[in-house]
Amino acid sequence: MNEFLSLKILDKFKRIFEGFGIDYKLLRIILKTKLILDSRRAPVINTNQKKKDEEQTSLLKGYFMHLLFGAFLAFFIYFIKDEMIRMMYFSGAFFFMTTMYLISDFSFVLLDTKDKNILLTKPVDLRTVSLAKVLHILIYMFRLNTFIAGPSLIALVLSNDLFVIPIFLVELLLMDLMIFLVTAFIYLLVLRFFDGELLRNIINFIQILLTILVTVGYQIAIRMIDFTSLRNMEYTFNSSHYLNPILWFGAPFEIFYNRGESYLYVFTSLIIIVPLVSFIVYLSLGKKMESLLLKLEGEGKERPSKHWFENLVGFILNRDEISKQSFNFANAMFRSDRSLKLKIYPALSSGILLPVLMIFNMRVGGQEFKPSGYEYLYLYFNLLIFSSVFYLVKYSSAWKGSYVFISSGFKDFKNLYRGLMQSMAYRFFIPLIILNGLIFTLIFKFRFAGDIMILLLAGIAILPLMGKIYLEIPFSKPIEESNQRVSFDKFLLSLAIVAILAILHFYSYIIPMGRWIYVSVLTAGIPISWKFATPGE
Amino acid sequence: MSEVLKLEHVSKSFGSKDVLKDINFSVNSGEIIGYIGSNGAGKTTTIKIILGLIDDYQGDVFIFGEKVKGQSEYKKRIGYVPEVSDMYDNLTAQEYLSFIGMLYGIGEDKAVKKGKEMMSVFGIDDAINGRIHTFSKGMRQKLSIITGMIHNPDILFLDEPLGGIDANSVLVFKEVLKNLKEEGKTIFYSSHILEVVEKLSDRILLINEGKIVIDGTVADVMSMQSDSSLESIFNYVTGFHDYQVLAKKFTDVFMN
Repeated sequence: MNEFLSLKILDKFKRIFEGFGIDYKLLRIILKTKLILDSRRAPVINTNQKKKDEEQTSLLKGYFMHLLFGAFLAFFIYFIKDEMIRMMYFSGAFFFMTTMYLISDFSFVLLDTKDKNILLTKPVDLRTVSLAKVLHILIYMFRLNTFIAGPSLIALVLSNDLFVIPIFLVELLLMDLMIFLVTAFIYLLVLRFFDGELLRNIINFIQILLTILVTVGYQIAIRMIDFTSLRNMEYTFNSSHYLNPILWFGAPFEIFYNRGESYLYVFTSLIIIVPLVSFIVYLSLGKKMESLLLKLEGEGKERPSKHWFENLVGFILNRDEISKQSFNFANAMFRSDRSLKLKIYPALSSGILLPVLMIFNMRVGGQEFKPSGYEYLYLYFNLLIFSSVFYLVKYSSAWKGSYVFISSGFKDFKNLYRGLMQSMAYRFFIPLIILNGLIFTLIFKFRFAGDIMILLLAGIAILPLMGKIYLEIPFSKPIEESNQRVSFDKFLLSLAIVAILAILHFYSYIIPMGRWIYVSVLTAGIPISWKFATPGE
Repeated sequence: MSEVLKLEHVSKSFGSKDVLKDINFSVNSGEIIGYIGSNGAGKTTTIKIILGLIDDYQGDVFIFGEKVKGQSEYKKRIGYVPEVSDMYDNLTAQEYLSFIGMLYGIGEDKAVKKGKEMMSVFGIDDAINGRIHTFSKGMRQKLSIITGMIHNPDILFLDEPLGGIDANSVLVFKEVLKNLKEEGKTIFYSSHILEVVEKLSDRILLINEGKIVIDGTVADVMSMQSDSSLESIFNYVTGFHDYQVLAKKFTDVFMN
């Protein structure tokens, strides 16, 4: 087993732990094992991981994303000159990103129920186990800090001097404590009033949001920031700021470098008092947390819901019992498989954001925006991106259940795929196009309404063709394997199909009545395509 | 024989459900106790209370004469093999053995050496460098047995320990338990597989709906009914008489 730097640092505080009656030797053994396990775990916000064994590489990739964010933040910090405003931006971004990463990547530690069964059956007391949990999370946060806040510290030193270092580091520690405690209290509240299932859904939602943010958020943020106005901003005090922790963290810097007004001392006191008092409250709630965590043991139940609209759609679309059942089955899987949702929704988010980004790109330099009239063509990226959903539906975290397809001698794959594709269209494709339509309506009014209808028809018509390229037995492979790259041939083929549709759409404007003819062809093409091109024969 | 385990008026409820109702029994060193009951009768809850995994219960538990509530030191002298074992799956078996060895204070090297030898008895020593998540159910259970016993405990708590284990290894394990009894170890064997319990145990504790309804030697228990099988006594005490009716119902549904 390797030695970890964080443990070597922790060793310096051995006497303090022992002074509080903690068995430091046991604490260290537990922490070391936890750190080894962390090093073998792929981050939730993962990039393209090729093999399970490439854990170290994958973790480094995870940290690279943190560093990218850190560098971005440092750029800001360097630009802003007012100490209060600077730290307001820093602590706002830091709180947000660290909380998101903590929830997304480390909830399993906070909500762990396994430790109890492994450790408390051994001669280890609850206090050591709880402390190991807190330290494990703080070590994770310090690592995160190095990448997220490290570049900002360099920016601060460059724009002030070396004295910022101790103030900044103490503030980071207190911010970490606050973030950890706020997260723990939120979990405690959710578990107190609801069941573990809701908490799992919230964590899944945050994970999806963060994946989207990390994938495409930067693109938007860079385009939205006006650096010149940031440089000249100045802080004005308001008594409501006592309630906003984001604003407190500039105070020590302001006192040190500029002036010492009374509210700054209150802010500084709050930075210290709030996390420490919360920590004492957390420790006193430790037992309560443990008993509430029992709610997470077992899988929990899905909330009772009738899904009447979904059932109605299934009933209208299907004459065949197998395809109806397949539609319902796929809907249930898409609803409940959190790992699969974590892959599908970020992929779909690119479908919404890419066309918007392309439109924004034309506005660089503050020029007045003049639509070219061809903006609808950007929407074809939706179809291309939708091919990744086709690629993903063969994966699931419950893939082992797929043995029933083989053991039952099931043969009617055509109807199985038909129901599956209907569900994909119902849950993902049609909402994606509608959302894009709404965004286009906001930007261009109703100018492209007809084109969006054509795109919708074209998309529905080619779903079976996409299915022919990509579909395999649904939900039948481990979700961990979904990071392998899509075959280039398949991608080229789907690109060709989408390109042909975009070209046809483009030329339909040139021919007289072309758009009406194209709409008619597509409308007629949908049942033909779904009847003859659906895979599974 | 000295008393090594004692439960006095132990009760536990989850919400409005009373899972254990005033449990009282004691166990002497060197005894093999068969702790039997239907699913949900309260067997695992009893063991979790003894192990300190549940501590909000009424009554007292004594091990080696000491109250166990809030204590952890006594766990050096007890071993536990659960039905489904939580483990750190991303560790190799060797790393896990070494980790458990350190927790019990027997040292990494000794734990690994002993663990490897025990693994070879079960025919899984080749997998010592494999990550636990790659293990089959049976291999996991064998590793769980090994890690539960590696520190030479005086009392062994076994909660359905044989799930997923092959027949040969079951034979070996049953022999191991007999040997341990001869060495003066106490074994608290909880199961609903009555055949194994009947063969191994000196004494039977039968729990039904949270209450101990039988506490006696195997011979005493067998003499309770003319048809002297533990299974029939179990059915009689738990008030379960209509198994043939239920089997018929299942068959009818199956045939349609």
